[in-house]
Amino acid sequence: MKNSCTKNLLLMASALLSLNVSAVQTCFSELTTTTDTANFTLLSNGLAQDKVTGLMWSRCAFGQTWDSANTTCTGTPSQITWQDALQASVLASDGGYTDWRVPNVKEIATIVEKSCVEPALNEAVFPASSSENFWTSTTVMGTETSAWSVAFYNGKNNTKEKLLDLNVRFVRFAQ
Amino acid sequence: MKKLVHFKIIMILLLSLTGCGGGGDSTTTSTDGGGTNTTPSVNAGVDQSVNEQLGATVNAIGFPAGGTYSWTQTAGPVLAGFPAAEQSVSITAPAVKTEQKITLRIEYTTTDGKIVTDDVDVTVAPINHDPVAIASLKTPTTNPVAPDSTVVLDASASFDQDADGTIASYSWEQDEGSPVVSQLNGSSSVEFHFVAPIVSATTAFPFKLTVIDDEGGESEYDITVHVDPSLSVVSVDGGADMVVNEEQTVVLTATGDPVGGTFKWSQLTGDEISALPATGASVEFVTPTTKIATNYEFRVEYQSPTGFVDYDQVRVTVNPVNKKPVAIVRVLTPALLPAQPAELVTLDASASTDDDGSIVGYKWTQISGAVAITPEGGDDSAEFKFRAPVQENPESYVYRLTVTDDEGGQGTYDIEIDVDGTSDIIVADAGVNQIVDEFSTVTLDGQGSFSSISVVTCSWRLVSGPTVSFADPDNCTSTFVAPNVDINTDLIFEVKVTNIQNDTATDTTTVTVKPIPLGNIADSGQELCYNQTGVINCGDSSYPRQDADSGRDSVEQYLDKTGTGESGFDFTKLDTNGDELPNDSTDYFCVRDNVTGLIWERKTTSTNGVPNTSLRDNKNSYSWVYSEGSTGGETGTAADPLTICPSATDCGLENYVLEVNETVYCGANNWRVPTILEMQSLVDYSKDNTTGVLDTSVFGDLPNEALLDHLYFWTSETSADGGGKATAWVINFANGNDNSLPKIQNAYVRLVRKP
Repeated sequence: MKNSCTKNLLLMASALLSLNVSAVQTCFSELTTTTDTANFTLLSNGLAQDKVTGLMWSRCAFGQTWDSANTTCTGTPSQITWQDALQASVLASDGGYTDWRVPNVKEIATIVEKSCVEPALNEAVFPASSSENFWTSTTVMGTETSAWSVAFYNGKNNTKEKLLDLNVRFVRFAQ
Repeated sequence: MKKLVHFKIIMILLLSLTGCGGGGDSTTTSTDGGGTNTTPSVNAGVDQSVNEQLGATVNAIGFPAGGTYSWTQTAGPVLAGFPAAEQSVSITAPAVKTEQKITLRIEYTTTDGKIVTDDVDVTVAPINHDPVAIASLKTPTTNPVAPDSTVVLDASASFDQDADGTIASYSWEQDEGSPVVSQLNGSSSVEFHFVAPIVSATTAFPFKLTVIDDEGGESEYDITVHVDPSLSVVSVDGGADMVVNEEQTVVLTATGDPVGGTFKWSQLTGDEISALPATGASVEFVTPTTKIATNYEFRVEYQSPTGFVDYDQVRVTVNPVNKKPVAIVRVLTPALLPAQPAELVTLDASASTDDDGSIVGYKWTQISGAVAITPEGGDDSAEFKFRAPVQENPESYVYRLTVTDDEGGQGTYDIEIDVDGTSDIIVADAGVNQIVDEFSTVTLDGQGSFSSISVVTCSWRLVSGPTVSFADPDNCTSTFVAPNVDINTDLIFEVKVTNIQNDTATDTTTVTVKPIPLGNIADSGQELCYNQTGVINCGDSSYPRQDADSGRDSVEQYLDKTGTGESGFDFTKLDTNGDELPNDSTDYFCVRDNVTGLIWERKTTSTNGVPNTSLRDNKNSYSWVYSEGSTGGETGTAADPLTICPSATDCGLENYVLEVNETVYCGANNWRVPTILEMQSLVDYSKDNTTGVLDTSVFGDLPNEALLDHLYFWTSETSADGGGKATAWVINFANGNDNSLPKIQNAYVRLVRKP
């Protein structure tokens, strides 16, 4: 997927619509894509199975609802504490599965689309998502009051106080 | 008409005669006392002729007047009314067949008693009236009639107009021009019988009846019979519906009317019967086999000799006749009876048969025996197992096998199993079979084992399956941890029980181990769970499903690693040619990650300063120059040679990769800079910057963080953040953080390759 074209960045779209952060995704055609849609099996019920990692993801962030008619997510992603995120995963039943969990720091990195920002996500797989920080289940060593997160505006991981309210997206082993 | 004219002439004559005055012969009988001119006389009138059944009058004239008259008949057919004391008498001519003369005599008595007589003849002439011919259709009663039907024409209503006449003959005649009917009884009877001809369209058959009376008078009557083919008469009866059994011979017989026609039998419903279609009045076949009552419908078509067709249907209901199954029991174990106490008895009903179907059900029931036996497994399969009871004295146990066939028929067989008694009993019981997850703790329960003479000791061993370690293999209850499996795997365990006399018995049980998903990317390395502030036990419902609750790290101690490594990491050490080395080797050159399949560079470490003369020393660093990577159109600028690396060419990443591959390091020249995901896969997030976030037991090659004031390792990917050109992704091995670093900065690198 490498693009050898010497053009500068291809700004697919970029606009600051208001003072509230409501950005349109920017992707760079000269960067190698890392989460091609072809890598995923898109299931009818708002689930996406990553054929590379064997992980099954909810295409919507927690708090959103899958709209199968329009193949998008509606609603606003919830922002909750780390503990609430862990507990919410137990109650999730997307697609009839009951083994949803918060991804660990390596798992969430596998859906970061490295050629895009705002969000650093493949929006064909994860539509209408947030560019904010998403929880991981991995506690930060040496600062156990914090857990790792990934900021989807740039795809980088961060350490966040567990009491902060962040987004979360659930994952399960596809088996 | 000629006769009618003749009749009128007679009437005229009659009238003229009546008008005449006297005439004819006269006889006078003189008696004493009369003068010459007073001779008495009487005149009876002239003779008359009159037709039969007509009236006539005789009138006498006596002389001298004043006497009395008395008429008498002296000849001819006797008339009523005589003697009559009238001067004038009217008579009616009797019916005659031939001319008859009637003589009437008048006797006149004069006032003085003299008597004279005179005769008059009345000749009666016969007159014939023609008969009246009348024909009607007697059979059938309606006209038109059906072809081929018997028709009777009846002339009995004909009559003769003569009161004394009779019909002397009848004659039937078919008018010309129509098909000639076939007569059945001749043409001169009062009835005329014939068969209505076969016609294709309604056809008129005119007949003429001629009747002749006894005097030769005749008369005719025309009658026309219409024959309508639509009234054809044909019928067939296929016989009554039948209810018969399967495999029974059935004869269907049809009766056609009129006879002499042809039959065709065909089948309307039901499984095909080869005997049909068929011709002939009867068809014979054997009913098919069936499991349920089945209707077969047949149709017979009958064509009469004259071509008319009728149909009928008949239904044959075939009922199944079930042959009952035959129950047969074989004893599979033990090989020799009687069974020993606690010995497994296996009975097999699979030899049972059903002649006309299949056996669909088995049921085993204990009929008799000293104790009620609990079977091992179900009691409704062909195979039936139970343990021979343990008892002091020999006993017999009778089991009844009931087999049921597919039509509900049943057959039974009683089998008696003799079981020996024993005073020295030892029984092993390894417990029920189990299905468990890999890495779970499994309990083997042999507590059902016993001996009649003492307590028993148990000894467990693995008969087949992956090796496990027993927590307490010499206890009747033992545990082990289900091993790491990739597919459902059966482990068979045997318990051997021993009593005080050293009698032994064994039993086995099967534990099926199922794999649990662990993911196919490298795990984070965390094996501990945390609450808000510190370590808690994993599996805590308040902080559920966190990092260490799942994945390879969570079951690290049970993983059957190919190599070695901390947490869930699994590394194999490789020698200078890329060949595998033992886990405890200290002299290894590169490392294979057995989870990801990636082969990683191991840096060399020396105490020399920077730039180190060793190509792959851990302290050497590079600027980001890597046209093979995701460049974003910016391939980067190489740092100067011999500054932060020992290369005399330059200190960019690309040159480093080139120089390493030139050495065919670790047996390969396809080394490259890892992607960020590959780089991150090595991070052990259970560590912090005191050791660096890497499996130090295997790598142990991180440089001192103080050297560059960071532990950033380059990746092959340019970051989209900040414009998509100027910075590249790095992983900080001090803490596992990822970041993007300006390409012109210095950072470390650990090369990677795939085979």
